[in-house]
Amino acid sequence: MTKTLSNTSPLMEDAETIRSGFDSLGYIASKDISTAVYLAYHLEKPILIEGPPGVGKTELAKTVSMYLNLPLVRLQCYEGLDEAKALYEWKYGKQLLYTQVLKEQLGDIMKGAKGLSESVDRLHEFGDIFYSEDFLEPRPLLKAMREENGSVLLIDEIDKADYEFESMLLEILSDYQISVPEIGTIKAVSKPMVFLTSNNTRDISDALKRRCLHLYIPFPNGELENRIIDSRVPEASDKLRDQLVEFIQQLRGLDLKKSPAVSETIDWARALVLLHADSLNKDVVEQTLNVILKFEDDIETAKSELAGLLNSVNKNT
Amino acid sequence: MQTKLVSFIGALRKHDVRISTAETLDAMRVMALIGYSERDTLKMALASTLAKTKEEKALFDHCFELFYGGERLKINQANQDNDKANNSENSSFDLQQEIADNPLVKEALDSPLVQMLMENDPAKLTAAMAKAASEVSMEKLRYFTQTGQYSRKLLEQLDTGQIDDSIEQLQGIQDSTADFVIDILQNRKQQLREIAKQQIEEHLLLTANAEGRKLQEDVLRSAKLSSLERKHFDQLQELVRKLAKKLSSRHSQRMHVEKRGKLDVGKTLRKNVHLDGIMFETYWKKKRKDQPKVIAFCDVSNSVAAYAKFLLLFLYSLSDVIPKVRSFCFSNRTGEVTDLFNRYEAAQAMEMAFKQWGQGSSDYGQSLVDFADLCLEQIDKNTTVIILGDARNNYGDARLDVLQKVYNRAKTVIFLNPERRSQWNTGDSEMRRYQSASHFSTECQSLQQLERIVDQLLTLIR
Repeated sequence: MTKTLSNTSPLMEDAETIRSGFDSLGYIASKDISTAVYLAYHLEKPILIEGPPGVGKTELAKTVSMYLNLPLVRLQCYEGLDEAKALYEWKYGKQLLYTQVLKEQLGDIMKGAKGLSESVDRLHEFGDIFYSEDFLEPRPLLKAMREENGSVLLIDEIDKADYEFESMLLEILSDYQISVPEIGTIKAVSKPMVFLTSNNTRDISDALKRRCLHLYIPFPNGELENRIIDSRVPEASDKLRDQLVEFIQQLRGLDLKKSPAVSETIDWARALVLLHADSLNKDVVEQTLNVILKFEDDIETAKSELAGLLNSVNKNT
Repeated sequence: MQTKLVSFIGALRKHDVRISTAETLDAMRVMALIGYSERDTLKMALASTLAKTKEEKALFDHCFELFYGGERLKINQANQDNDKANNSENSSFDLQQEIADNPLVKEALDSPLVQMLMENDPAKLTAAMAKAASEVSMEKLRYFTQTGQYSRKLLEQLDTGQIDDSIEQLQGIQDSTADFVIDILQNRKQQLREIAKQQIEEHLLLTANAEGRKLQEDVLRSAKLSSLERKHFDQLQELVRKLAKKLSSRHSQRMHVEKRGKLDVGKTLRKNVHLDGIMFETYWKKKRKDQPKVIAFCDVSNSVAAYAKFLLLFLYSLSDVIPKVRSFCFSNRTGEVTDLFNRYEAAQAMEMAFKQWGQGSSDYGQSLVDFADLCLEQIDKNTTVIILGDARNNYGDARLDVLQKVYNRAKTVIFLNPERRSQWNTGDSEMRRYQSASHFSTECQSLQQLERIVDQLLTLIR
């Protein structure tokens, strides 16, 4: 391995350090997550994060940027996203002004030139800055590459972007460089940590997957979720927290269109705290079910199972 | 360790996990970074470089457990714990002492394998077993029935004859210590046999089984769908999903048709006023491309149900490339089953659809009328209608006029008939008449043909 360890931050010493560091920032990570971040940092590879919506994919990138104290550059993908919006754009207005300035100066430059060929020679001697970095308007990807001390680049919901855009990313993700036809290649000043997230609405191409580490974040298990709620909604009483986490875990076992994710659990815990509930009962749950379930059908399904669910929650906590 | 990793990756590849050389190199770097001390961490780390989908993760876990035989080690450990519980620390120490005191017994035990067994160190034993396994050539291990033969070979490689020799010698000594040692040795030999068998079975699971499966898949692909047995259906479903994935990646990566339309001169001029009217920023008229719609109309009476099953499975596995599929099933009445497929797992949805609509003998006339009532309005020039059935109408009214209405509105009407072309138009088959009102009709008998048809379909509609 040829990796130089001189720029390695002590924060990234091992997976356990990372995990406890994330803990203190309020992001309760499983061992899978901290190991993946550790590997990504040391292998200098992007991470492709997949998982159901609301399990903290985007949050992970934000936490890493906070943890390493690096700027977060975020690129939200959507259909039709192209390089002018993601990579760079020319500053047309300034270029236009430049040509006008050039026009005025042209007389001075050409003064005394004999014949066409000499004029052209002189024109060539004149520095061409029409296409130069001065007129380059950096977009998120280029911005991330130009950060002096490195950055955290979050390419969010890559599955929403077109295939062409995915192919364009390949150069950036494997070599950390961008080719601008008029200028040449621009290399990253220091390599950014790249996070890609996907909600799996379509398959990501193999070429992209090959360049990334893969991390699948599933719904957390009861213990982990309990800790997450504890860290995010400390006002909730112990009993309430145990009960609501158990309830959510049971709920995920039902056939729902959209199972409640961690973000919904957090919202629910906040809502219950606001309602001064210190334990779950049928009325409270019925009133607040719309916080965790977003489809009418799902709410109906859950309501019909409510008694059974609450029973087993009471038994298990 | 590197060669072990490489052969592990080989095993993964045999299980259809696609791993490139670059990823192999990554895995090696990961190994160097993480080390071998923590098995779970290593497993996680390797998984993140080698397995890139949820399904591949499951395969990876399976292979990892088999390959880096954690389970086996645990079993040994448990055995050892049992042993310890049986004869407490003290007595085993005594035994060592007695053996040392008794030169005859000591001599009888003087061979490397027996020594190892007496020490009962599972790590060492496993290592020895692995070494022996690498020396026995297992290329010809293909079938489950061969496990006995190969585990015997493995034991021979380990030279278990040493144990028998020792036991024989010990039997010659009339001594309580010797008797006791014989007992232990017999016991360990039995254990050793079991471990060897396990090793072979794992090898079979890892490599040979995967190859066998590939062969079987090839056969299944070209077999006639209606003649397949029920037990193959699970495997076929898996296969359909695989094929669908292949098709969808092929078709979704095709270059987009030029998306933008003509230059929008007015807008361009307006937006460039601040640039002196020089058209730096161009604006284009957008060309709207409607998403293709596919409507499947499937006969689910007994004779054709198997085909409908796989056609629907195919279509719903292609949701990446054709997002809008509506499906209708009929035998004598027609019902829409789209919702079932959106709500339930494909296999379950199919069962329900067939139970609800698959009773009775086919009546194409009535079914077509129902179909037209349900969705003729929605059929437009972006719609492809796929009809699957044998066109055997039990001499009823064919109602060709209804199909003609569909034909006139739709972009394409495809008629798939699971019967051989030579049997079309015989007996009560109305195929010739229905053919006249469809753009394209073909036979579809095997999964291979079905795959080809769906491939064409994708080219057609996108």
